[in-house]
Amino acid sequence: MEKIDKIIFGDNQFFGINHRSQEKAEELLKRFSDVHNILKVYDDAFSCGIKAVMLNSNDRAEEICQYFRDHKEKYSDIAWYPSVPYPHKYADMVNELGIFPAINEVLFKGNSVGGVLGMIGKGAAAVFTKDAMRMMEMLLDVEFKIYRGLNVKCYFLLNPITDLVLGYNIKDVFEHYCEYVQKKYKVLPGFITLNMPYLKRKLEEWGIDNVVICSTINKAGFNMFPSKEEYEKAIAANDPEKYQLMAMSPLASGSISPKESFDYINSLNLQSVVFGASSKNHIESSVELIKL
Amino acid sequence: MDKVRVGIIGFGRMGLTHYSIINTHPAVEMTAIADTSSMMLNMIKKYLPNVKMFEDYKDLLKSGLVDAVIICTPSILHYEACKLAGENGIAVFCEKPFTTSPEQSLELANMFEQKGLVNQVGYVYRFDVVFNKVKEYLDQNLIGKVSHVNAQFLSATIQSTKPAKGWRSKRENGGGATYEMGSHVFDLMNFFIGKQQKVYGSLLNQVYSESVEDICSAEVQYADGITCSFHVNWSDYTYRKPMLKLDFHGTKGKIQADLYGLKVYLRDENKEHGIPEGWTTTPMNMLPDPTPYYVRGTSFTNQLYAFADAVKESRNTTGCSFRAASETQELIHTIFENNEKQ
Ligand SMILES: NC(=O)c1ccc[n+]([C@@H]2O[C@H](COP(=O)([O-])OP(=O)(O)OC[C@H]3O[C@@H](n4cnc5c(N)ncnc54)[C@H](O)[C@@H]3O)[C@@H](O)[C@H]2O)c1
Repeated sequence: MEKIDKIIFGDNQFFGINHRSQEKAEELLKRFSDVHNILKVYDDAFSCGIKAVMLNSNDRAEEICQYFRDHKEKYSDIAWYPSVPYPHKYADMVNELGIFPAINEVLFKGNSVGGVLGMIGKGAAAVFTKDAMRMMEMLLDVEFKIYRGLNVKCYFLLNPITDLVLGYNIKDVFEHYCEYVQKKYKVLPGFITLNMPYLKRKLEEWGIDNVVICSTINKAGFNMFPSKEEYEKAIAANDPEKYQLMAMSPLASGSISPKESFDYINSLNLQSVVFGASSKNHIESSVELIKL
Repeated sequence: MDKVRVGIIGFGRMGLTHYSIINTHPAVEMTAIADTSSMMLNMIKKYLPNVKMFEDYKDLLKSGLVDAVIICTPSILHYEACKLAGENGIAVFCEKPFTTSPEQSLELANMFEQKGLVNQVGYVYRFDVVFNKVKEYLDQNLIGKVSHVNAQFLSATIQSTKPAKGWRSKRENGGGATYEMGSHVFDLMNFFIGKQQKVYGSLLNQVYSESVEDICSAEVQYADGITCSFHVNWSDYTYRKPMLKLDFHGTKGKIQADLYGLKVYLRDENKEHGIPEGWTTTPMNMLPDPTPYYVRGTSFTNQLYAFADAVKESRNTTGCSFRAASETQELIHTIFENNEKQ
């Protein structure tokens, strides 16, 4: 399996997500409402030696990607780890329209997916219920379009979707996702989850490997389900040739210092860590502390 | 019971989530789904070969395939679905609000208690890690005798005059800010303090909606002279995420809690609990929240696992019982009546 980058720069800080403080999150949201302030932080991260970016699909992702496409020569060595879908977009549409009309809207309005234009109309979703896998492929194509032309290394499915679908215990969905991403996009398939031991166990049971698994891992055990102990066992027993494990929110604990937090990450059998920070100082000191 | 065979009635947004969660419970076997809309059933039936799909929930309840059901239809249908389940000896987890009338709620509470069937309503905040800590502190009398509570639930859910679709557009069907959001805070007070005694006044107001209310406020009295001011507003555009806030005023101190954590003020140090004088802040992520499987937060999982465990072990649930939910139902209707009298 192609090796993933050891240090990946995340984007939660740009979008008003802060596990420690709501006020801090609001403050950052304001600062980063100007895309130039986001791009500046990326340049800071790259100047600290980071060569990889994880980006969630959201209403800012398109303009960020466009900038990096427009300046491809300057950023030719940066690898991208996008995650899809953009959950709020879907949640709002599903609330407004219902599940199938929302899917219809995503696939057929303003997103002219080649070859299926003839199906526009209310019957389209009904046709696709007969072939749920084809519907999934088309939804993925729509989502992946944001990242066209970038050097993508791995496509992640976001945890709200991964964990919801995982609960259904349907092998086909996971198998099909992985095959599609590998064959059509020639990149690694990835899953973000808050239930890593459960997901890993299922993937093993289904014989699906060559997968990147990203999950919250931190010394305090925050957002690690069912428990930190189960995570540690699963990590220790892992064969990185089959599953590359990536830690996210390594500092989510808040009360634990960066040094202690990263020492914990360094002590585990992990292949990669994704972290976010909004000042150059913090980025620099974090990079120095990570020794995977 | 070795395995609990579970069915879902109403496979919309909540039904989809509940299936995913409960299917991870080691003692649960999913056996049936009922929904009047066949589109979703058609899509998934190929992938769930051991689950029988029904268009009519009555057939599901009479099929003999389930020991327990999770009811997530529009609220107006909860009563008749619960009733038929009870008649067939099936344990019920019913989404909130329980029903759309206090009489129906009471009837179901009596029926399920008489038959000794496990019964639970989806007032999910009872399983929130912060509010459980609050409950613990109140039960330990940490802040002394409570005299007043301020309870608020604010969100930016409704931001246009576009009429709500389907069942959500009518109060009689369980739509509106009081039913959809207020019921959660009313139930939390029931969880913390018990049944209300008197509604002194209530106001329903509109910001955008035409057929339902967007704002609900009420002044309510509980046992031991405790009073509570409720304020619910689902058109508050300053909240990116829903905010449920509770302030307790006691003789020995105060508790302020919301979905992100809690703050305690003590007039004197409490040695027994190791809490100093003055303010102590505990963010949500500092509270242990062991949860077997995470989907859309930890509360939904702990809520459904409590139900499945109760059915498996043939005992009362630790969640919101039909009895408690019928008390909340009564409060909702007293609030409506009180407003109409004005
Ligand atoms: N606990 C919470 O936080 C929470 C949140 C949202 C909704 N709810 C409650 O959950 C319930 C469902 O809400 P939702 O948002 O999932 O609604 P929804 O409209 O998405 O889903 C309702 C489903 O019921 C189906 N249905 C309608 N009539 C039926 C019938 N006769 N038999 C079988 N199925 C039928 C519909 O086809 C639909 O799939 C409501 O009572 C609501 O108040 C609770």
